[in-house]
Amino acid sequence: MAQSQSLRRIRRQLTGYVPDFATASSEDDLSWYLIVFPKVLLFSVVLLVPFVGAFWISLHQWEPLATQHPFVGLDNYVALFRDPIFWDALVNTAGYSLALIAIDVPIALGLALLLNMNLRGTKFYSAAIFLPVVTSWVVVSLIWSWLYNPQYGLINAALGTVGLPQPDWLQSSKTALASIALMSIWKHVGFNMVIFLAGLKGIPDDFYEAAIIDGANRWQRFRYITLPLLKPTSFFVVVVTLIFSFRLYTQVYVMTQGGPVHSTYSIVFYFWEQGFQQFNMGYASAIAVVLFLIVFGLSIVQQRTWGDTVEY
Amino acid sequence: MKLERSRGDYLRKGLAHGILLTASALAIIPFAWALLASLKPENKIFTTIFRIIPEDPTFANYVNVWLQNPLDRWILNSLVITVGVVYFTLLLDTLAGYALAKGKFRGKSLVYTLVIGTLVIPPQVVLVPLYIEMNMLNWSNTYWAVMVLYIANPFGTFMMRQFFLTIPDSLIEAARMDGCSTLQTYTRIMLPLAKPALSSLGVFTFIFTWGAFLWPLIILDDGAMYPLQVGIGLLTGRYSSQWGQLLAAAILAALPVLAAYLLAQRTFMEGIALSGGKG
Repeated sequence: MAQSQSLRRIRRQLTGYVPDFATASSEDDLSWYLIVFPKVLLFSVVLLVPFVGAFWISLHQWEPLATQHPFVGLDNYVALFRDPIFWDALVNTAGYSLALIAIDVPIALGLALLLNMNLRGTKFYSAAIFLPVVTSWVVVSLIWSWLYNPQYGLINAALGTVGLPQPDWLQSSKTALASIALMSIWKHVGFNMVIFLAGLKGIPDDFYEAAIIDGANRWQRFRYITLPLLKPTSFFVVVVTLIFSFRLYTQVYVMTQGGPVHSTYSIVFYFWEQGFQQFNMGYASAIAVVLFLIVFGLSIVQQRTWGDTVEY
Repeated sequence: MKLERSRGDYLRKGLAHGILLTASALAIIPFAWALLASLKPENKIFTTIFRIIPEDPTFANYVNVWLQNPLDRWILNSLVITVGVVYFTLLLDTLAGYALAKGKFRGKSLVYTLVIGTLVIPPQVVLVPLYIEMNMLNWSNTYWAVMVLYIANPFGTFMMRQFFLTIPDSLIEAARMDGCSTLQTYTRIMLPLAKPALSSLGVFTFIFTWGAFLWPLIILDDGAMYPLQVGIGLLTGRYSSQWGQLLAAAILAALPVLAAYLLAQRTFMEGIALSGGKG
């Protein structure tokens, strides 16, 4: 009896989707479930199960074509800890990440402040600086490989005419990573700039007007109004820059393939090489888990130190 | 505020113009120079570095790189994948975001936790198990295998939820009073209101998917299935000395996005600002 009643309810709700027949009550769980189901299914199959699977596989010796995948406990992690190439990759990635935060973020803020002056031509300036952001990493990596060419590249040609030293850029292990970082800053700075600009536009004008009446000069207004009110935006920019920079891969693949002598190996590049070139999928999964732990840890630390948002 | 036009003001503005102009030039020069170099004949590209405007511009590099590689097929692959991902992202994320913002059902907070939780997972972490999963489904070398990872991205769901939260409940109540079902409220009230957020999310997803590299490189081993970025990225090894053709390929790969950007520049920037600011 109760069953047939609920069946009737389900039928009523299904037919409720037919136009002009709708009398759905606000408690109708079923239609909400149907609405949210496709995305939840995708989450689970594509992200959640593989995420747990990465931990599981990292505890095994796992070659894709083998019939057996022996359990090895934490051996992959122990090996990783002793692997000098992994440490190189870790240090390179961290250095790249720091360079982006220390150089990219301040430049982006500076440019956003200049654009916020609403000078004539602001539309052109912002469009131009944003151009590299919409272009793909493969394309800019190709173009910059050519710019960086020690003999025939534009950069060294320009440096040569003004008599400055001409580095080997991507072809020397001393400068290769810095060259990749420099290009990445060039490509990424417009992204952060636009986010900063949106943050600046969100600060109400009356704050500045009140400060001017109180006699605050330009620097004081920046220091005591703009910076504190921009804190949530800055927090967001730093976190996103950090998370993206730890995924460093495409530039390395196109420009250097990790060389010269491992000087541009990144965590994700080493992960890819181990997992999909050598097919050591257990080992690659251990690298992936470590990557996850680092990114997760960093975002928690930042949440703690910067997390309190300013209300206005 | 009274308008002051002191000398310091002019100086400051001049300085700002100078910096912005330099920044704009730095952003544009690499593209312009790559375009000009790609128009030089292959045998002159190394000898005429200082002759910036090519003497006898030619499309030979474009023709050659196109004849030797299935560029048209790669472009088609990229279009199928990008359009598919944008379509399903917009559809599924607006549905899920609507349910999370306005729905009343058991397990809602669990679903929301799932969204927030998966946001912090770097996508690289799931690639090995996902690769195994796709092989088990016999989906490797299909468009679907490439697309699922990007469609599953939780960012859009989060963004649409934040957007739908700003729509007053009274509007939905009114729709209900008029006899709208949950789904009708979605198609008739929520979707039309969400147009600005939809275009932002669409643009954002478009740029992101068009530039995707690592996952398609992993899951596709049939050259005919490569999206443009992977196909061109793999040229570097074979073409290490044929820079004219490489640059021509890079320009071709950049053109569709650049054209879209120049046409809809405002939407692009607002897209980044909106998705960024709400994040």
